[in-house]
Amino acid sequence: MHKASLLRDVIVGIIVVIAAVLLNMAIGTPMLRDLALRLCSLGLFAVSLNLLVGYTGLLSFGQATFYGAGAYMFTLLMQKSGLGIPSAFGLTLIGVSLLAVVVGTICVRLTGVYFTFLTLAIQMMFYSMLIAWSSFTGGEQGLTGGLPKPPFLGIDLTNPTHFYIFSVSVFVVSLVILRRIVASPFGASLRMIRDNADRALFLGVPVQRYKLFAFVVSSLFATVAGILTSLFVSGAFPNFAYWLTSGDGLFMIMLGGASNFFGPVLGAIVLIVLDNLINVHIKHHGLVLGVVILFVVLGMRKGILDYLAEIFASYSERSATRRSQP
Amino acid sequence: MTARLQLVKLHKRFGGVVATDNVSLDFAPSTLSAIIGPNGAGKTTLFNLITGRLKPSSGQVLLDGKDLVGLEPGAITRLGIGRAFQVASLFKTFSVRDSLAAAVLSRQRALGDMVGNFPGSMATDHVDRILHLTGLAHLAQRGSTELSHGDQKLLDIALALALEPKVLLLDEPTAGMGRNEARAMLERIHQVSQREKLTVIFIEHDMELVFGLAQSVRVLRYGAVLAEGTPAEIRAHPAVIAAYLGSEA
Amino acid sequence: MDIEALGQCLSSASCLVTQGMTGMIAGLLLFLVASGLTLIFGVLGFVNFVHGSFYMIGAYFAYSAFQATDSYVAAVVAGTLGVGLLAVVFERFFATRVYDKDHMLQILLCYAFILIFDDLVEVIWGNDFISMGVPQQFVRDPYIILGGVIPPLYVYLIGISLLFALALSLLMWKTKLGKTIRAAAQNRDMVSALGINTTLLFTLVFALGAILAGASGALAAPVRSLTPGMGFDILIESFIVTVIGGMGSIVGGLVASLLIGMVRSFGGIGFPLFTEGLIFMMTATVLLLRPNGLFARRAD
Repeated sequence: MHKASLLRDVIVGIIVVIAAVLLNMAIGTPMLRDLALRLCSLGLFAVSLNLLVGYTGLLSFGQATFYGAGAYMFTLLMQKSGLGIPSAFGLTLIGVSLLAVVVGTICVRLTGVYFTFLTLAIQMMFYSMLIAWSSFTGGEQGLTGGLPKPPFLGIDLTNPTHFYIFSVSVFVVSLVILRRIVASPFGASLRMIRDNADRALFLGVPVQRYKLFAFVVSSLFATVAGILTSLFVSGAFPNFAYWLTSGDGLFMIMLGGASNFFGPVLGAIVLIVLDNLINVHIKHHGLVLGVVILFVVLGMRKGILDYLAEIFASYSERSATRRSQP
Repeated sequence: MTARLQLVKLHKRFGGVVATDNVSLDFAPSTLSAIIGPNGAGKTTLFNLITGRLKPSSGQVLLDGKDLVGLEPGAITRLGIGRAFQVASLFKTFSVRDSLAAAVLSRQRALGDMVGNFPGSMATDHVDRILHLTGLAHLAQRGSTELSHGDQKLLDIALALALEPKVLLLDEPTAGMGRNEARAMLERIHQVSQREKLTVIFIEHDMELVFGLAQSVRVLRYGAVLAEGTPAEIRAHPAVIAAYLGSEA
Repeated sequence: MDIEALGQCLSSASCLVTQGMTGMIAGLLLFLVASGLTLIFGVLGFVNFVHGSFYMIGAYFAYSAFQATDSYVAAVVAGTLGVGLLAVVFERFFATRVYDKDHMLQILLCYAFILIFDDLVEVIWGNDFISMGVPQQFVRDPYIILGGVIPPLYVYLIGISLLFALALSLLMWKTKLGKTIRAAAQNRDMVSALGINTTLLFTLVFALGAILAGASGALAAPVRSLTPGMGFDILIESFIVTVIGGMGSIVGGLVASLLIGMVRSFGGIGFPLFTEGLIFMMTATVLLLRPNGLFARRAD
């Protein structure tokens, strides 16, 4: 039976990629591609973060560490080692995952606000290191100087159309994998940990180990998002690992809805739209973002998709009751 | 007859306070025992010691001869100690069926599976069985938090049952219930324990209910065993009567 | 990295004195801020992520007051009271709405305000680093102790910080209000059952906590350069103090604050660009060895 769900997800994924390709063929403007590419990395970052926040109940304020580390490691490998893109991609995933194992092991020992705080502190340390180690990381300027993109398997990432399809595909594949994980028994155990870690422990769930798994998986896909971004901007910059980037992630989740798998993607769309609107009309990004968060936190109390899901649920319940009445 | 569960000189102190005072008790297989005692007598502490939530200062907890002291709660659960809580400890976003499926899958060590579907078809038979056993079948699709207080406590017990325990610890299963509801709950517990051949140990405050159901009664006071015997014996026990006259009838 | 310079400093009395003083001031100022944070978290159970912004706003208010009046006293008062007022408004209209909710909601609410405050500060005072400058009465010959140079302002700052700390302790331990606050920290519901107006109490405690941060910012203004977003570092550090000092322990808070101050000061010589990293490593080490902090009185 689970083969059927995997099949369904893969088919939906393929349809999405094809739709994206068609869209590009219809409206092939650089702006469309830019928006789509930003959605791919931000959306993936937000969905990966939600594995921790929404599904496991671990409020991490430091996933930008891995997003940034992914961007930096990939850029450095491409600039300095002469490796092809697939190899650099793979090595970056492995390297940053190892970092995630170390960081995760330290952090999951703590709970609640202490956990949040430690993830934040580690991120700031990583950021501080990026700035300090300027001989290696370019310091405050970051890794400028471009990112070589040698062709591989017939794909040439210097070609905008190729890059577009590549990013969308990576995004879709990542989402399919994450969706499978979330729907699996492991995903259920994460939700058990979120709802009642004590009882989960009593039911034999290895809570600490599973938290660590979730942490590493989340960081893995944050890394992928970071790689996509570095390809997009042809470099890596310290603000990737700044705490405000983690904040953006939480914003996307909050706005789009933490209990829905696609909520964070919707949140990403809103963030990108807001960003574009603000940069064009108003200079003060923080102000607008802050006010929107206030509105969501105090007014809606949950994300858009959560809200809609609730409305839909109560509507269908009401119509079911109506139907069952003579 | 060898005891299913044996507490051997179990002792727990917190700083200067002795919470459990050299408790030695045997629990025979397939029996229903009650643990009673005034508030603060250490009943819940005893449960915590058995389930591994607390480590004893000294003493042993033997399940079929194997000492559980020092093991992680998860391991103790796997060896066969199940527990239901005074306040139902549920998974609020899970439906009744999904909660039980999660428990069953945990038992089957299948919760680490990152590829399959949850709940899928793996656990359905077991889940159905437990739903029928506890009388929750008609509520299978409901959310855990939508249930009535009594049904939530039933679900709490069902979660423990899903792990196929040998020993079931129930912490005040009828707390917060009216007389009739409590009676129904205990009847069900009785049925379940007979069908599953469990050793059930429950903490209870209501003496009427205890005497109607338990095969043996242990009385705790100040962390130590004050008396043990059949309900009739305990009812007439002078020390027990004296202890209770001070706190509750 | 410059270990040699660090070694040289450690073996020189004058450097020890100068850096030691700087470290002590940084530590004491941090202690004030952290005490405020611990107070708010301990009594209200509220994770006050905006605390760093209170520090920042205290500094900016002090700066403006000083520009207007040329009086350091006015500056400190403006910073302290201004932040107090702001805190009351924040608490009454916003913080209350998330008191008993998820910590995530609290953190997000505060995050929203960090963004808003940072931008407002930028709008009002601009993006550049600004400097308040040392007030006239402190422009004197520095004291020389063991060859170390100590500006009179430093001595004053240490004195004032200690005074604040003393006032706080007296308040908490010798007054009825203080007893009530400490009781509320132990058991909120009980205090309300005793008929005490918890709403008023909470606002008071929140304002008190914020005032400590604002006062610290105002006091620090002469020796810091002000910029929007400057509150973030001190926020992280006060959390570190709370965490490694152990929740609820004043002595622990003081020790942790001084430790951080010293690491900043001496670490800044040996590892000029990596001081955050050092502080973090110290935090991680303490947490790994003693997950409840150095002097934890109660595990959280």
